[in-house]
Amino acid sequence: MKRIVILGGGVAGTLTANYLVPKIRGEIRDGNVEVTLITDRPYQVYEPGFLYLIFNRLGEAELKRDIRELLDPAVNIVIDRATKIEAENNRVVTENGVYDYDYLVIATGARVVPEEIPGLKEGGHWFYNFEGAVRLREALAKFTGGKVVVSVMGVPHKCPVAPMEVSFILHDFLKRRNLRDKSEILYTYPINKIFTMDPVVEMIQPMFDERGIQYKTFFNPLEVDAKNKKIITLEGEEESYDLLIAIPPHRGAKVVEDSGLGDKGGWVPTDRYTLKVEGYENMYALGDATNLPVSKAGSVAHFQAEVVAENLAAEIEGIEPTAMFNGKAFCFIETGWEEATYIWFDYYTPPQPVMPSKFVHFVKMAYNKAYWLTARGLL
Amino acid sequence: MMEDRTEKLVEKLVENQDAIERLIDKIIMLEKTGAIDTLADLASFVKVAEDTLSDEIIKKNAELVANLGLISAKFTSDNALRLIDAVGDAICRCDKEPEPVGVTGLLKALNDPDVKYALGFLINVAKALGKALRERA
Ligand SMILES: Cc1cc2nc3c(=O)[nH]c(=O)nc-3n(C[C@H](O)[C@H](O)[C@H](O)COP(=O)(O)OP(=O)(O)OC[C@H]3O[C@@H](n4cnc5c(N)ncnc54)[C@H](O)[C@@H]3O)c2cc1C
Repeated sequence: MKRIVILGGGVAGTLTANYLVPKIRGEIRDGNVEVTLITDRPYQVYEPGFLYLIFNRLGEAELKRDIRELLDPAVNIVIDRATKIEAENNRVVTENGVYDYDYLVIATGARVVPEEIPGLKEGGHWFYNFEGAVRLREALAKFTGGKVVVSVMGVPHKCPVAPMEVSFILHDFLKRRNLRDKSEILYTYPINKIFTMDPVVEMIQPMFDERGIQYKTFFNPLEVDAKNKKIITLEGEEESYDLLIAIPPHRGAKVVEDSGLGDKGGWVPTDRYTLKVEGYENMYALGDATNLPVSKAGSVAHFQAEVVAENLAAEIEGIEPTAMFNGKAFCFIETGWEEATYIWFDYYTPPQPVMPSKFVHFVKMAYNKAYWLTARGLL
Repeated sequence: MMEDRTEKLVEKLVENQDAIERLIDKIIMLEKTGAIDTLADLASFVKVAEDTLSDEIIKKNAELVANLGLISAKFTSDNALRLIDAVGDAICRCDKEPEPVGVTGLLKALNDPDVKYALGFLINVAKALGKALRERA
């Protein structure tokens, strides 16, 4: 019997399982193949929802779904935390067991490490995980005006456009609460422009100007002085704030680091086309876990899952795997409380944002609820 | 002032000459085929939707679709589909009016090979259902 182990029950792991199983259902039924998904929590989190949770537009319960509801019933589900991937022995060790594999899919995502910026935990907020988002929701509800700094404190980070989105929505949020006149919004970015991609900068920068959202580039925070409410940067600048919304540094999963499979950021070195882990014929990696120079976005995980599932199914059937990832990403960009645009791009095509509209915003709102169909492999 | 604007306009037209030519061809094609009226109607429809819908309505409907979709994915997986198809056939073919059945009737029915087969199916489902329920408890 061939054993396929998928590590991680986020977008990447769930979709890989749901695309793979129908392709090899006969083999599974005949007992020739077993697909096991190991994940450390019994539910999946819809992280893009954090952007809405902080403004109380979506609740906690709406952002979680039982993993059993999302997975094909033929997948063997194990809720357990992996502690070590023993690549040389082809097995995964968890807190409660050991799982041998013929093929392993690493889909363990990324984690935020606010502790890497001294003072950030004490002095700042973020919306990149549940606890942070819930805490920020409270701070925003209590905010009565002042200077808000939205600061990107490390790259790569999940959803590259989220810092711009939060600035736009914040602008409208403060307007709706009659606080905009009493407030400043400052957006900071580490490189020499407000975003990595020029076509996006060309559209967004004038929109920031129109709304009076200020920005600083080449801004690399080193530490946060929580007591005096100041950010201190590598460039020797000091920036004061009343409310700090940080995009904390990210790292790959702990199990990847502990298994010696990550680079210095904990990202798994991965072939940009085949998605095989470099140096291993029977290991794939996808989603936020990889070192690929593509956005850390759910949509990327989605397009990659199609490739990994197709190639794994081919290997099982003894066919040469030929599917290749073309770098495709798709991101909505909320440009206010009720308007949005979107971009898509791949290794060969640069992004080209469309005019922001209410319609695109509605599509995003609907997607926030219908996302679970994507996880199930239906949308 | 006016000249300034005209100059800018001409500049823009020249800069985008290719795109504008392609656009004009498309507009002519749309007008000739009458599709432009349909497009205008469609735009009005989208506009009405935009003006009357709200985040709340969108969320509710999308949630409904998501829930139906997740459930239907299970009922339309190949094995479930085969069994549900059989249930559908049984309901369609069963044109007898139901009669009350007591214990004796039940025992008698158990002699019927078709009933036996269906019972086997129900027991299989009950077994799998028990497991699924326990997993969710
Ligand atoms: C605020 C915010 C907004 C976003 N907005 C968008 C957006 O608009 N569009 C978009 O496309 N993307 C967006 N994203 C990004 C998107 O959420 C991620 O890219 C996506 O979740 C990546 O999926 P993944 O499966 O690779 O990782 P994850 O979703 O992080 O899943 C990893 C899984 O592995 C499990 N795991 C980790 N370690 C272990 C272990 N040792 N043992 C067992 N299980 C383990 C975790 O519990 C988790 O379930 C956003 C993210 C954030 C934070």
